[in-house]
Amino acid sequence: MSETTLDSTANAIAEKPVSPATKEKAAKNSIFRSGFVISTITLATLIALWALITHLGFVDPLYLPSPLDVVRKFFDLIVNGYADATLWQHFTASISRIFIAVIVAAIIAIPVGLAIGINPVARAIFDPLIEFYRPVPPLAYLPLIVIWFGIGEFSKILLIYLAVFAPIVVATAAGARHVDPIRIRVAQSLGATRWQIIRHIVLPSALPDMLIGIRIGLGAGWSTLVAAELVAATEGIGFMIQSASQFLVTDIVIAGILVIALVAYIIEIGLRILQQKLAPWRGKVN
Amino acid sequence: MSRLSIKNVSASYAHQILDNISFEVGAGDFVVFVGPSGCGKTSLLNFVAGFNQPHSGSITLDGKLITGPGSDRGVVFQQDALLPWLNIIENVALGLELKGVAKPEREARAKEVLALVDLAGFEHHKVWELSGGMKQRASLARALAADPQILLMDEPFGALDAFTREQVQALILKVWHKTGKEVLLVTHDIEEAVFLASELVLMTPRPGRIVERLRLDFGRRFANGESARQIKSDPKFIEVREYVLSHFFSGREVADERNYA
Repeated sequence: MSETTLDSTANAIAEKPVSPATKEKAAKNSIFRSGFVISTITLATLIALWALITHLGFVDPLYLPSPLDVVRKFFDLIVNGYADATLWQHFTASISRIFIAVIVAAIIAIPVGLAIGINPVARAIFDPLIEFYRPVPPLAYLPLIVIWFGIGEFSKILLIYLAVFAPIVVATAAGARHVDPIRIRVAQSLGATRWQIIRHIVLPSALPDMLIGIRIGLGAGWSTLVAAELVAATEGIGFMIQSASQFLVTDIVIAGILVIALVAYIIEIGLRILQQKLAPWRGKVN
Repeated sequence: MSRLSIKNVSASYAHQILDNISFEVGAGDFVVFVGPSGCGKTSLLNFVAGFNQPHSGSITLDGKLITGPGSDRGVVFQQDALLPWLNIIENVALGLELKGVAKPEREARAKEVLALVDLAGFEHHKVWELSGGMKQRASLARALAADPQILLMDEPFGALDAFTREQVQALILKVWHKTGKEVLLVTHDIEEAVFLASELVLMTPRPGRIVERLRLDFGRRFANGESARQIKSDPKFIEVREYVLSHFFSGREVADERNYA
């Protein structure tokens, strides 16, 4: 082995017990902090540019209102609302649709994904169904859902649900299929039954992938929200944006977009923390 | 009295892997299969573990035919076989948990075994907080906690550095001596094999065959208090090691390897 050339790498990945953990954490923190600073500068620059453009009158405020106008509108939305509902009402309408869809999707998609991952028959049944509808944009089958289920709340949640369901199934199935065979042998050699292997090995092995699936699914859910609220909605952030766009109330459109972005980002961070809590071994062991 | 009995085991996949292997493991034996890669030693161990089935022949443990994996045979894998979502004591207690042993009872037993492998105090550590050698000791503890009839080890030191390797070897000899359990270990490291084995089995590849068996007592001497350095510099040890080496390398191949050094 060429020890000289590999020396630095070997040092970097050399296994040492507990003590350097604090050091690693400190290094990670400083990277995180400098990353945070850079991100903040990027955002601030963008907003400053936006403010500058609107201030110099390059663009008609009808198309691009100033940041200050958007902020003002935002507070106006909180107090007075838009289309007979406050921002909070629009927000809760949307978020509850997404949450119901994601929770129901996760409850159904995780067992289905596990089944696909470990059972060839289940895979043969579900895989073509999911792969068939998955690439179709929700807007394409929205009319069909309306014809079948009407324009009520159910159709809206169903549309989001369909968008969330596929990514969770696909990620869970991949996680269940790629369980390290050594781990299965470990359980077998300790006398595990088939169900015990699923419960003690496959399920926890696939957990990080499930969480990734939920994260991706949630993203898909947000992108479908606006489509879902196209149909006969009276409340919801998606509805608010569309309705405002028809009347060229650009500040509300922008405020609505920012609300979605902010909420989605907060949820994403929450899920990352959850992932760190539930599957702290990810990235530390294979 | 023989406990594990391997009778006329043959296996072939693309080509023949094992050719008519017959072997008995006696009570209290530390059997080491040594040979170059391709001699089928790991396949043989997997047959004994029940992960795979031989194409012909039979393997019995205490007269019972082996048809699949089971907790009567504890397996220590090469590396990374601890489950990262469990801490150390949960990993060690896993076999008992699967058998439905209540938590206080299985944790008490796991603590005992962890103390045996010098890991007392690490019960609540995460898997990734342990060094390679500690992980292998924890794996050994997990296999022991389920109280198997026999321990099967597939290159358990393969991923360890030379220093850690000696420590874990010493520990396995200690555990073997203390528990009196039979051990079946597979390795390609000849010095390690000579040091550990009470019964050394030399295998040659293509197809895998047993060419010779040696009865040794270096491991027993170590367990009885002699130091590893003392044993390994004993002319008798060197003689056996060179004898085994000469089985696998003609003089010329050995000389060539020396020239590269």
